[in-house]
Amino acid sequence: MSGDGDSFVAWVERTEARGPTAVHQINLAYLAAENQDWLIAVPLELDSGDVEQVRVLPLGNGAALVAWLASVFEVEIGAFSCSFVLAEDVYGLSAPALWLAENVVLIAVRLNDSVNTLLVGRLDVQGGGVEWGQPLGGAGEKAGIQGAFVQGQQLLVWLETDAYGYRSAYAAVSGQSESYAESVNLQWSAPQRLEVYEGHLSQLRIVANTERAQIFWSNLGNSPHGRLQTVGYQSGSFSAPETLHDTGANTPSASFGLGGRLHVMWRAMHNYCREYHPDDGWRSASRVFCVTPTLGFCYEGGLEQAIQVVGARGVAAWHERLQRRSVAAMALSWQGP
Amino acid sequence: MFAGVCCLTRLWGLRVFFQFFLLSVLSVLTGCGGGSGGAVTPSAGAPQDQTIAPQEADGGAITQNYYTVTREDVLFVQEDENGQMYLGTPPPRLKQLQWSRGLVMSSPEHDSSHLSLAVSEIGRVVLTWIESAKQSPVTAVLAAVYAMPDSIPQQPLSREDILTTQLNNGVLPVLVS
Repeated sequence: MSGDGDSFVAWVERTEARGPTAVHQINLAYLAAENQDWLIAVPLELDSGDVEQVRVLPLGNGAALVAWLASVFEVEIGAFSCSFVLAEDVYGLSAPALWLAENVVLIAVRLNDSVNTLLVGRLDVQGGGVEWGQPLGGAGEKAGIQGAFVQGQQLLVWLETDAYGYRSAYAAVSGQSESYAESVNLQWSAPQRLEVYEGHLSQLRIVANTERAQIFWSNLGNSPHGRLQTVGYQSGSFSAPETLHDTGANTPSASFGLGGRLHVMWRAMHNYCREYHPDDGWRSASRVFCVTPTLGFCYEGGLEQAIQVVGARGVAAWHERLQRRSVAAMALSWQGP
Repeated sequence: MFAGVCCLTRLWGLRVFFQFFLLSVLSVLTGCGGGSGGAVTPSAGAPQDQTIAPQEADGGAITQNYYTVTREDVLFVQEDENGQMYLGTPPPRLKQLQWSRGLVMSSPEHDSSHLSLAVSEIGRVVLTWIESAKQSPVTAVLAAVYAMPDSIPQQPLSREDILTTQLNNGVLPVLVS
């Protein structure tokens, strides 16, 4: 969804329309901010191969990008204008990262034949194609790439597996004064490891506003229960890692809210939520209540949950096991007295 | 709604167990009696929506908050830095977002998956998910749209406030974003 309320939903339908091989058809629905009715677009593409890792990036003014694996499509008000291949042989288990930086669309991928290297490029939405910068190297195999634009810098984070099998979180930052609008070859800082101890990290997430970025992950370490850990990035430096939950935390979702507050929700035995306040740090955890009106647990319905906060109002959604079914549930926030 | 006061002091060794026990038992008790040290004293028979402001016993700052849900109410338990625990609602200085109980958006007769949530700056909420039936290959892509009111709603979220639309024609969607 764009900031002005234009909404896009993309999904893949598998059909048998072309013989025994399944055909994947990408669909897009569009809901204009001022409308109440969805516009269901014609199929975006038919592809006889697997279609995975679909991403939608709203561009404003009713336009959006839909990307999957190595292909990117430009979309304008539900009519698909063109398509082009960005890169061949992209690693399929790690989705390409797509983000906006001052109206420039950036993409970061890992290729199959160069597992230790990341490619970051600038997308030419009008003309089609991508201009790739210098590869970003390192010692370990990379995955889980995500990017953000914060305080005039590009911030790239990823997971990296070393020779001993430990998987850690790393980050690199572009120079302060450089702009992708001027040059695609940014000078990246040396990759910085974000957590201190060897771990087995997964579920890397990044959320950013113009002033601050926050990075979350689940760290199994030597424990059977994942710890939810986080690192902040502000004024050119990373904070020390903090553990927000240490018993079985999964799939963090985060959103900035009023006055620079940051809200993170995750799944453990229940749906939990914590707030970061710029003046005094992390507050204690609270609950986002499941549907079941008991002390029951809402963690059995699946690991998908999401939180979004706009100003002082928040909405949370999750899956929950109810009468042997996984149902989708939603809750609104209210301000305490 | 609660006639008594729970003032639980310095049970460090059994604290975790006692917290769970407290949350469980309070759902069926109307009060647990007693009280000391300036702990919260909710009035008997208070309506469910009445704010019961806890006092800060011994000047101790609240360090932990615990919530639970009964069939009729939300209980809030706080622990201060001295290990004392109180019933009540958050003091004004906390000002954290509090959360309502969840509302089921999908059909209880189907399994849901592929959840996605987005909110615009003007407060439009779009929640999408996929529903599938175990005995049928036909699945549905659904989108629920909700407009957040400008002020804090006085009534709980209702399905009638939300417009849900099926986006596909019901043939095997496999992924949504």
